[in-house]
Amino acid sequence: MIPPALLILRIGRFWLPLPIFLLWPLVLLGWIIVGALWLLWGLPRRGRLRMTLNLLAALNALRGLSVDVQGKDENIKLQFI
Amino acid sequence: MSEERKKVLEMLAEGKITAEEAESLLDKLSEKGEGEGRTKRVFSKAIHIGGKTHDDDVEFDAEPRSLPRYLRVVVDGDAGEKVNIRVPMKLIRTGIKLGAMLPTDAKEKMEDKGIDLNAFGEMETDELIAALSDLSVDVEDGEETVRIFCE
Repeated sequence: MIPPALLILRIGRFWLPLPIFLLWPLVLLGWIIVGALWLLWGLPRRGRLRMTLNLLAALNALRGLSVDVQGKDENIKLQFI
Repeated sequence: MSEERKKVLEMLAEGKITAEEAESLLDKLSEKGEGEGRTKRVFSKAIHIGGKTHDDDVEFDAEPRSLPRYLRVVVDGDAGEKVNIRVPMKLIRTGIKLGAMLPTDAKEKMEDKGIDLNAFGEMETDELIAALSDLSVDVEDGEETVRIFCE
């Protein structure tokens, strides 16, 4: 699972591509820390470690999420690529 | 006509199975939408109904149906408003896991409003997503059209 690389925001006429791939090292660091703690403590059924793991997985799963709203006044798009 | 149906009819024509057994097998074929990967097992059970064993004859290698990748919500308004939402199934899968870990006070407040998140936590997410693949909701009220489906 590769995390999203770009977040494309469109508000009205403005397009704003945000390079999320710059945060990949942080995400990788997160995975490494969670992996290390998992090896040390084991994976509990509940708890912060499990929640962090799920959060990291959710972050990776954002790729492909797209919300596009077009109305009379508003024109908003958010897309993770 | 699918290969499986043809095979059943051929077996009936050759006299390997009775008409009742063929009917039972065809019924099972119609119901197999819920899990094609289990086709072999269903068929070998079905063939025992008539007291005969034709296991070798009834082996079908059905391809397991691929799971949908996205949940789509499309809203078209009369005044030209459009909403197009595409949610990856992976996000739903992880979201269910996160939902099961909400603080208890938040869960209680949601339960007061009739939303039981524990039910999601107990579900097999793969089964849920497989069930969602057949989901298709179309709502038309004269002003707006709402479509919810998986792709």
